Amino acid sequence: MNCEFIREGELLTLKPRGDIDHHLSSNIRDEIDYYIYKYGIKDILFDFANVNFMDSSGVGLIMGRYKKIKLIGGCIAVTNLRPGVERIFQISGLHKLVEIRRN
Amino acid sequence: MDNNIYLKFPAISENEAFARVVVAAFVTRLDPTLEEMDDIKTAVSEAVTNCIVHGYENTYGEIELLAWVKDRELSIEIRDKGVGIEDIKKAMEPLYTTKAKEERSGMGFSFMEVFMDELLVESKVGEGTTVKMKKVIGVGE
Repeated sequence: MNCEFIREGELLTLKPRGDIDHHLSSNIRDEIDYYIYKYGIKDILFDFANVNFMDSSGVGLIMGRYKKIKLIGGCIAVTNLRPGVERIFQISGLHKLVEIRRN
Repeated sequence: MDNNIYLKFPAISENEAFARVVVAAFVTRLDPTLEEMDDIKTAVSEAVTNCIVHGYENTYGEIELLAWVKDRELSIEIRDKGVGIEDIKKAMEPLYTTKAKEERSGMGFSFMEVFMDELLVESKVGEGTTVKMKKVIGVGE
């Protein structure tokens, strides 16, 4: 399993492991959406503690979930970003849509 | 010493990681910073993903990757023999994508441009696409 899913009420916490590229994004996208619809998930927290790399496919993945969640008044947060991944958030503008939590 | 590599691999998404790790290992000798290493990995990942998603539209195909180093300059060439790009200028516009349904962000070429020093895209409809990129390593130090 390359992504751990933890559900607490309307909050879904995702802990992906490895690189968030096109390969991983297409694998976990449907599973995240399954959780959103089946359990009425409103808020998503991505814990990137075990993510070393993300490219524009990861941006597409988060942007897509943001669009779904926004419609029902939810929000997306990310935590434990390593500098290289945070740079992708800044350059893509994702940092304006999601909350970056610093511990 | 100047050096070069040539790789040919099938257009499957698993190979996105393979391609960027190989290029990262290849440039290690130039002693890049962590940031430069991330830049190169991202650019390679974007180019290879484009071959898979757009060039071959998630069907069978082969991708060629060439990389060479001259002094401190890394050159990378990534080619597919896929569908090609009709309007390269349009394709390179930030946020433009032909695959919004697949949640492509439209940032692939922008990332290549931001992270590398030079980017050149050559394409012919029905024949394929070649992406050429260059980056000088270690100038920021």
